[in-house]
Amino acid sequence: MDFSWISKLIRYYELIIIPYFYFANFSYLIILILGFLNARKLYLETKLNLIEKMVTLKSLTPISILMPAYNEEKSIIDSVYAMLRMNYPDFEVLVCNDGSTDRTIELLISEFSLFKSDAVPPQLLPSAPIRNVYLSSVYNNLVVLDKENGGKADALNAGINLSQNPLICCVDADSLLDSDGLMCISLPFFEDPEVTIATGGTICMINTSGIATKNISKDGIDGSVPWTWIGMIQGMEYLRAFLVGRMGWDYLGCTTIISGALGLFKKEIVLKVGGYTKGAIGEDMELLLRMHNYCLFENRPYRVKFLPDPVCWTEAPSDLSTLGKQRSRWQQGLCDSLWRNRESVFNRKGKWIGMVALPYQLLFETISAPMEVLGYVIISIGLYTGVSGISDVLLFFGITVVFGGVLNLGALIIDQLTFKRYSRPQDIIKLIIGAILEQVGYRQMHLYWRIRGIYRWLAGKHVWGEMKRRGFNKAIPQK
Amino acid sequence: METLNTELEISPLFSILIFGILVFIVISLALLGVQIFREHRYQIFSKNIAKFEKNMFDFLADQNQTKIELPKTKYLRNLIVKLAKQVAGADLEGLRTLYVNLGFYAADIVSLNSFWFGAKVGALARCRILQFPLDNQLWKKILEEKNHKFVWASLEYLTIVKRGKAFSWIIGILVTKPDFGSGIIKHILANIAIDSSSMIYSLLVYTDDLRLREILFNVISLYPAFGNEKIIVEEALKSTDEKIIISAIKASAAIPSLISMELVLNFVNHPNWNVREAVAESLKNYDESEAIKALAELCTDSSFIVRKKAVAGLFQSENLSNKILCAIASDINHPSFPIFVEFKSKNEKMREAA
Repeated sequence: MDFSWISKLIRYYELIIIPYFYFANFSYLIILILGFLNARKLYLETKLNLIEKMVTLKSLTPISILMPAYNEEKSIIDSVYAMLRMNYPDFEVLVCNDGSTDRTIELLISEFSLFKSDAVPPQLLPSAPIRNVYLSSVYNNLVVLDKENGGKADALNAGINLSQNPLICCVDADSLLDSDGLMCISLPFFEDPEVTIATGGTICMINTSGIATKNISKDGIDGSVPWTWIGMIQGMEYLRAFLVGRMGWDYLGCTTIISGALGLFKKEIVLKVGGYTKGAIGEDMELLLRMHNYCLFENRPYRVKFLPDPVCWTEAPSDLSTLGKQRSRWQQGLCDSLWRNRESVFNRKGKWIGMVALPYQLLFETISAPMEVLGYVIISIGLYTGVSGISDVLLFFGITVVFGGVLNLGALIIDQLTFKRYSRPQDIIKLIIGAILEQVGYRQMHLYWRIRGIYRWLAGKHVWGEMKRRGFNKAIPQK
Repeated sequence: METLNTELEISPLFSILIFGILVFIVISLALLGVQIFREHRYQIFSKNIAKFEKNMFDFLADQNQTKIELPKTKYLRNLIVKLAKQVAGADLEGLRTLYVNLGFYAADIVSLNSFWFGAKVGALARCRILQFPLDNQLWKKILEEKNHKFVWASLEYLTIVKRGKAFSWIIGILVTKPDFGSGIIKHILANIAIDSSSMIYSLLVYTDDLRLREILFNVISLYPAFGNEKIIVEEALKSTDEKIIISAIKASAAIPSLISMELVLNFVNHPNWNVREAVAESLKNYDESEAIKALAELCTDSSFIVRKKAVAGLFQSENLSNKILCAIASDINHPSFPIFVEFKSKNEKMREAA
């Protein structure tokens, strides 16, 4: 049989895919170094304890916390209580029930003694019809908005319409925020209120397994890495994403994603860009990109900051199916956001965002999955036909799998040199195991989920997927 | 198999891969080892914390240095700083003496003079908590640091230890660092305002910088401990800058004596809704029929936020504004009707809950 075409294919592969991965790895390495520099700087700044002084000054800008909720009966009460406990002088909590079909609204009404109000929010942003606005007779700063289902972006827009404060903080209803979280995340707004338009915080995985309970935060949240392989891998992933990725980009002033689980925005700018886009899959990234574009194209001085210390605890998927759906959705969201803001990619007006950050997202976060899969396919065909040797396999695994492991270790070292979020030896062991497991088996599954996300985006399928929840009961020993 | 072995033997890639994996294992073990060592060391210290604390309190009681047996470790240093946060007066003075005697203060001074930012940050945070005075030369060096948050913390420390005398230093920084965030300036000036209101007054008189004036008015509204600003606030209302007008009216909302009601009433029909919002906030302080009338007018304002502030103002002086509130309540088409219902039901529920 003539295998000359396979030889040619392998030649092309060596010419394109190998340099591509070298370049990608070089970029990851640069981000790792920048991430370390930024994390170190921010860690040292936290030692100055500026937060403590801010509380006494009472000059902080009031915040409206928006919590979109759809079928969150397992965690909504804990989440709302956690928000009401915030250590901040002036804030309101706005829960936007997005037409839940479970008992979310009933639980809220009974737990917080809600009563109907006739308040009619102004229609600053488009949103699905509002059924009722509830106020609490116990908590002066709690408002619950019950509306027809329209998706997360729609619920957030409805919340923005009803909000009364100049800053809006979007928090997922399945997340818990540290009690000083608002104080930390608002620090850049306090420091320079004119130019700061958005800030985001770190998302950490909450341990809902109920097994390990020693890594407890001061608010009583169990943040230890669970003894499950899926938990160990995700623990490592979160650490790498926030300590390396977000930190590195923040160092360059190129934060393109503020997680939907925790973000603080200047309402004025959010309204100017038309709020959240209904139907956008990655609504958090999409909004931020439009805010960037607005300020850049209007020549308005601005800054977006990512901060390591406000920690938002979130319940990570505990089974493969849910995790797969989540990762496919993230990939779909990335493609969708890039497509909707395509005029900014390689646009000189977009400065660092347009010329560096977005092209990076496109080349190394979006295309890398099909490129890697292509590599696996070509290598397999080559091995089968005898055209490829073991050295080709080693080379490919070296620049993908081994480098991935090294990157994970880099994130762990940064954590130990700075915030020491995981300081118990048991947690370090779990993270090292997670770093290895992630590269063998999980990485390949992740590739499949990402490709599926790209396919769904191309096919125009918007699959949200139900997230199975355990609730926070096992993660909060002392409520 | 033979081919595979031969290929692997000659392949430098294989060696690199094995080397990579070995490095991974070594670093992982090292990380783990360091962590176990740290935890072990801290556990040894924490076992003796009670003893060290007793030693420290003995020292605070009789100031007899010869009796103290304390290890000069960073854990002890941090323990002293932690205790210093919780005490004041003579106890704080005692802890400071102990800190100096154990040599930690000298080490902090060396750190503050050093090149390393990390060392400087730690030393500054500790000295600030213990409120050690520093010499002017060192202050100058500290304030030359490029990191804004470091300078911010330093200036705040400076105002604690130097009080009113810190004013000239701060003005110097404001002049030499024009890119300093306005929030930082506000924070620092507010610190001064607590003790030295006259300084704020002088600055308000002499500064031409509109941004700084706005900040100063904000400071006044937060710390209403002044007496002579009436003229300046009235002067500010003549400004063409809307931000200045808003901040001046808001300052008057905090201290009604700063401004006469007639002057506020001039802005009821201002085209900027932010100004009208400030007016609604300010008018609630005047229990006079003129103010109630203006608030009633603002209840039909085009801005929802202005209407809300106006209704809140009417609810505050419920006796005088009873008729107007009844009029709103009886007219379902009144622009403030939904706001009225919300306030009313909220007030009633709150009363019930109370």
